[in-house]
Formats: sequence, C-alpha cells, structure tokens
Amino acid sequence: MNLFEHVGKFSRFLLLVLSKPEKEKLFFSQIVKEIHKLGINSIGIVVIISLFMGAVIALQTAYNMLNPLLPDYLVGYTTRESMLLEFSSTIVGLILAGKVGSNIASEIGSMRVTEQIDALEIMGINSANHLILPKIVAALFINPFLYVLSVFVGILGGLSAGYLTSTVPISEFIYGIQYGFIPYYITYSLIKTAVFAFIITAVPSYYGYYVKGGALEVGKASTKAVVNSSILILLSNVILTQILLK
Amino acid sequence: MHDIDDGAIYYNDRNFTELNRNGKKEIRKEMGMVFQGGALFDSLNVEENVKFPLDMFSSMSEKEKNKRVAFCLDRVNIHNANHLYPAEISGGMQKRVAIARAIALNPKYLFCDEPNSGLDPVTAIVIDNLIQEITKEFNMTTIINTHDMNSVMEIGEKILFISKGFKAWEGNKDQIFNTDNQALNDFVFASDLFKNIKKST
Repeated sequence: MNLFEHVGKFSRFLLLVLSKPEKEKLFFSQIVKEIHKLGINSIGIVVIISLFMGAVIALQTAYNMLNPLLPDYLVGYTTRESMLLEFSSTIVGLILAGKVGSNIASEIGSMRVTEQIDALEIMGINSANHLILPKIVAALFINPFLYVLSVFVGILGGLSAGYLTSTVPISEFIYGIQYGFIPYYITYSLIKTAVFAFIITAVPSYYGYYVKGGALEVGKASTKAVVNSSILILLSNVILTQILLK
Repeated sequence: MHDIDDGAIYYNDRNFTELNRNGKKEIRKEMGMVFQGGALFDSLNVEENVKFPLDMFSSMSEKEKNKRVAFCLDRVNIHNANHLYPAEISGGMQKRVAIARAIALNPKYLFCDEPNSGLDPVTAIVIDNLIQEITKEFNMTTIINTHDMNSVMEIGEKILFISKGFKAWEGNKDQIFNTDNQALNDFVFASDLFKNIKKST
C-alpha cells in the first residue's frame, strides 16, 4: 500500500473515529480508564527519564563551559530551555510513542484478530469510535500534565546533579531557571504535546484496527505503528516549530 | 461487517444494503451472534461482557440490567464466575458466556459460527443442546455455520450444504443419508466412521 492510499484510508478511519459516541455515560467512563492506562501508568517512566535527562543536560552544560566569562546560572537556564522547549514535549512524546503506541496497536490488533471488533460491529456499534476516541481524548487530556511534570522533574534533576557534583551553586541554578523566561514557550510546547498526543494514539490505533492475520501480523503492526508515529512526531515537530516560533 | 459486491440483502422486506448506519443498527439489535472463538471482550469480566449490549442499547435501570445478566448467565449454566475474565475460564465456558451475551437483548435471530469448534465431544454436545433449548425457549431462529456433522445431525432441522460459495444441497438430517449429491456425500462420508454407518444403514 503506498503513502497516498494510507493517507486516504487514515482519513476515512478518522471520520469513523471522530463521530458522536453511542452512549455518553459509557464514553466518559472509558476516558477515565484510558487516562489511567495511558497517562497515570506512564508517570513512572516519564519521571525517571526526565530526572536523568535533566541531570545530564546540567552536567554536560557545566562541563562544557570552558570560558570563565560564561556565568554559572547558564547551566540552570540551559536546563530549563532544553526541558521546556524540546525534551519534555518531543523526547517524552517519542518515548510514549514507543510505550503507549505499541500497547495501543497490539491491543486493538489483538481485538481485530480475535473477532472482538467484529462482535462490536455485529451489535451495530461503531467500533472505531467506541474503542479509539476515548484513547485520543484521554491522551489529549493527560499528556499536557505529563509534559508539565517532566519539565519540573527535569529541572529538579539538573538542580540535584549540579548541587551533588558541586558544579553549580543552587542559588545560581535557581537564578538561571528564572532568567530570560518567555511564557509563550510553554504555550508552544503544550500545542506540540497535544499534537503528539493525537499522533501517539491515532496512528497506532489505525495500524491495529486494520491488521489482518494473527499474532505475527499484530507484532508487525505494532512495530510499524511505533516507527511511523515516531517519524510523524519528528516531522510535525519541525513544521510546528517553524509555524509557532517564526 | 462486509460491504456487498453486487445484488441486495433484504431483511423483512427492508433493503438492508440501502439503510444508513442507524437503520442497520436497529436491525442488528434483533440479531445475536456467537463467534467461533467466543470473541468475548478481554478487558471485561464475564458479567460485564453479558451486560455490555444492555449498557449500549437498553434503557434498563442498573438493577434491571443486573437481573437480566444473572438470568442469562444462569440460563447457560454459568455460576460463580461473574468476576472472572475470559482468559481465566475454559473454552466451553467462553462459548456459554458468548451465548449469554448474544441472547441478552432477546434477539429474533441467533447466528453461530462454528459454536463447538475446539471443544471436546461431550462439551460440544452440551453447547449444541444449549443452543437448541434456547432457540425454542426464546422463540428465535438460529442459523449455525458448522463443519461438524455430529452437530448437524444432533440439532439441525433445516440443513443447507454450501460448497465453493454456493448452495449445493438443501434438506433435513434424515435426507442426508439418502442423497445422491456427490459433493455432499464426499463431505459427510469422508471419514471411515461415517462410511461404515452408511453401509450399515
């Protein structure tokens, strides 16, 4: 199947997904379940990765500032800017594309090959809408919180690393994270996070929903979902950055 | 589930193929389906699986829904398994839960795809008899797609033999033994057991 066929099929798939839910009460309860499954269960990995990445960014900045004219607070400033602009939105997005994306593709794919999706269809239920819309809405809701958490934990990691290795005084680091702050960067990153949340849920759902065959094909669909959603995240990152920071 | 390539499908004088999604949904409420593998929802337990069509399509109160679920599960002889997940119950139990889910909305028609595949002969007969009893009790029409001749001879009233995608023979179980339809004879009497039965009759 070529790219244009995929685009057409994905558009038709989205039309099915983005229709009105059958039962609103059931829809909202599913959203809560998905928030737990996709968001709350990802807090651990987001915290661990953000903490260590924040620490590494701070240490690398500190050890690469050979010029004595560069102020110490630059370490805090660089850590904040890296976490705020790129790491907490894009890198966390890529990590979630792997964790959540493979989970969604294999879940929906398994439902397809074990006829569970057919069972929904035979009942007259729009299976794409019933299974996938709650995931998209849940990710759009919870991922911005994960982004904010990642920024805070990353900066905390940088602060801790600077203090524990005695490379940056705490007061300098704290001054750095407040220096030259541009609030719009948060808006920019939250927009990116929302777009990535959509990609992380919609693309793997698409690959899982149209899987044919058995367990082997579900595995292949899961791999394709992760690879293609990662590529789309990187591509949309460039496009959004050009549009929003121009 | 699939769009047709040609022709039309009529359901009680209504052209099914020309109906919109809501129209098709109304008709589908009158149908129950038991899939070959059960197709129970992995993320829901036994009780939630049976309750699912009620949650989606009925306006019953929670109490009424629970009562209906209890009735359906009791009818298929599932006891003390309400909170188990499909992966935690046997194949025969999965089929019975699938039947309970299919009858939850009191359908007019029940479709069964290989309802006793993968089951041992004793459990297969239990499932066959259960389908037959429920069909009579609920005054439904049940259409079973099967390759299992034991099942056909056990509960089949009106039998259609489909060969290579077309109807090749139609009759009842008494007529099968005397048919001169070659394709049907090759299929039914493929095993030595059935060949011997035919010789002895």
